[in-house]
Amino acid sequence: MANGYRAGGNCRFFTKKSDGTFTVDAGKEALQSRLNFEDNDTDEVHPSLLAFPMMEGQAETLHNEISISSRLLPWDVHSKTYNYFPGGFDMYQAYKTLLGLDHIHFGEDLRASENMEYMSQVRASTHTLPESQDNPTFV
Amino acid sequence: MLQRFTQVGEYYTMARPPIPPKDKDATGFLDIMIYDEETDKHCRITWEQALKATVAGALTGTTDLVNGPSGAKVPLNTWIQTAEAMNHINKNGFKAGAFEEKDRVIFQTNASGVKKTSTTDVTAIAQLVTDMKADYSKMTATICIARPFIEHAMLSAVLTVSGQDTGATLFGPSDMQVSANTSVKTIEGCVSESASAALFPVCFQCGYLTPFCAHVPTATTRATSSRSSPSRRTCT
Repeated sequence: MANGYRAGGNCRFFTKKSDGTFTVDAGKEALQSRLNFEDNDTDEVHPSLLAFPMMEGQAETLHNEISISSRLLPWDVHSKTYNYFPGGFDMYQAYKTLLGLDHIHFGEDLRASENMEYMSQVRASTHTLPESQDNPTFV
Repeated sequence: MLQRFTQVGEYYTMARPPIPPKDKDATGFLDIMIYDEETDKHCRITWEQALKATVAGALTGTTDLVNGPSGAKVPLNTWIQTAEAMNHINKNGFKAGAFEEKDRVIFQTNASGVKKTSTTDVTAIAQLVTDMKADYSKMTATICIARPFIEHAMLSAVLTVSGQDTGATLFGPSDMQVSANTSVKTIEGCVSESASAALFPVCFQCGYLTPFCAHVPTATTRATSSRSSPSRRTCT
């Protein structure tokens, strides 16, 4: 594996149980566990794959990006639809309920956003001019 | 350097190959091989495995699938039947025998989780198998395999170009500040304490920068929060 690898790159399905069967409950539980990153201090291996039904007609015209969270893709924001979820909006609604897809967060620092701390990582500006300021535009 | 745990996602589409297999006994032509980073090897994802992983039998409510940009829809049950028929051929080849109840891998369940067996479905799937053997294009079901949370500890670096092609700074020191805006997943740059020639064009009549000359309208676009505007100066 690559240096710095943490999780999410294996070929196990979220919906697969240890006995080899595939169930909704297993998928929901495994997804929550992965999102919460439970058992992080052990050798717990989290699953990585989800599978969604899709028709050939949509697959041929699918964008390079899909969104499986409640956040819309930029070109879907205007129409507020999940056109590019595999199977379309109905399937998103169904899987959202089934697997808890609406619990997926966006990696957003909500505290920083709420406090408008967009520039919190940079050094403060000095707001001073050099002493040799002879530029006529600042006279 | 800044190190963060960063997630990326990817998806694969499992579908019939554009050209049908020449060998009518060929099996596994709907399977895909994808890389497993934890075991450092490629793993085969079979159509049957992916079909089961969709847990499509448990979907409830309005579950029509979009089929193309026109907005045409296909009932979920049609997708299940098609996918089941494709699975039968994928496992047994185009010379596969008739589809039977024991060949099913997806079962629709009622609210209590009890399997609903329908002889109508088996008959419909068997008919689809026959149709697909005669017409390869009938294999219209696909499966989207998403791997959404691939996480690595990653270092951030900013690579920039330099030189006057990027816009020359005509006066004063420039102070470029760079910050990560996590809400939109972009890195923002802010130039302060000086104005760049890229933002303020030079007046052709007097040679001063446009915000400070009287020959041009005063409307300018400030993309940055630089210090307070200096007083306007005429050049005549």
